Amino acid sequence: MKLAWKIVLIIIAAGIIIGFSIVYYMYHKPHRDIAGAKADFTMVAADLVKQYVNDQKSCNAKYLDKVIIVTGKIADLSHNGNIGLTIVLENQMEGINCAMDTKYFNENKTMLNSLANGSEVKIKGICSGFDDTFQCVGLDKCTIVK
Amino acid sequence: MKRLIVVFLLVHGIIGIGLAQGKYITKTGHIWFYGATPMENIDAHNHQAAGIIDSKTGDIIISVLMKSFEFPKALMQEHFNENYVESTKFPKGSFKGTITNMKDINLAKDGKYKATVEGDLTVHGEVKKIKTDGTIEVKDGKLMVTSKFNVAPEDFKIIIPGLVREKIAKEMEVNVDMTFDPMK
Repeated sequence: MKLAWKIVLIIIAAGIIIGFSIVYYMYHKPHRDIAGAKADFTMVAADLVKQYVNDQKSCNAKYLDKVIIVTGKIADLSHNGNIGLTIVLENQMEGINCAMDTKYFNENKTMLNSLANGSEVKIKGICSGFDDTFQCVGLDKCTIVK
Repeated sequence: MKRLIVVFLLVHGIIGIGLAQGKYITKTGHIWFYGATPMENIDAHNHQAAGIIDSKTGDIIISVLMKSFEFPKALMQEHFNENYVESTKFPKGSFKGTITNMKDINLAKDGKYKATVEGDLTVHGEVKKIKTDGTIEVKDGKLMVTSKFNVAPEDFKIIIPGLVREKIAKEMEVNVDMTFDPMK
């Protein structure tokens, strides 16, 4: 009888520890690793923009939350203080808004700061949708693909 | 026919210039919100806010993609997108309003000006009228706009379950920091 109680107690204690570990892990689970993920789509920046301008709804169904690699010309670079960088591809009126991954930005500041308007880049990021007021596609957690 | 084309180009050119003149635009504004909880503070940042200001009328439009808000914790970001703002169903948040004292802001002279703005804030498919203060700093032909205001999630029919609700501040503080460039 005593032994049975001991076993029950051990099982309960183990359950509590496992439960807390799961909660702890869930709470601190890491962000999706976009840089290391396989791209779902690889395309020319202008093509993605064109598709979104033509049909936002079907594009959202196809591209939202997907990892995309786009190749395009830099239209604008915006340094957000010293904490981040947003690159606009194609042009200001119709383009892709790429927010560079914060960690990647901090580790590659010199290279990223040397980028200039007009140069062609290959960028990988996760699609956050389309802004129909400003005709721009959003890509997040972006990294430069060599 | 040739003359017609010339006239068309001329008229088009004039209208084109007229349209762009006095307008300021950005695609890379910074908008973040902040809420205190007993466990830790929530702050989520978006560096891809797009905006346009018509300096003649004071009209201002700002929009953000909800999925682009970055949270310190992946789980928070997931809850925010999936349960609260339902960003797949409502991908965009926007503000459409007017800077009501635009005439007090001298765009030709560098300096800091106080601005009042009012209009419609749309989040989660719900529209709410807001009125807030901010500053517009004119510098080198650019407009640096900053503002801070509070919103309650409930105003946008964002339902936060009871247990979690008690832990999150009743109101979120929204911060706007955007530098508008003159439109060419």
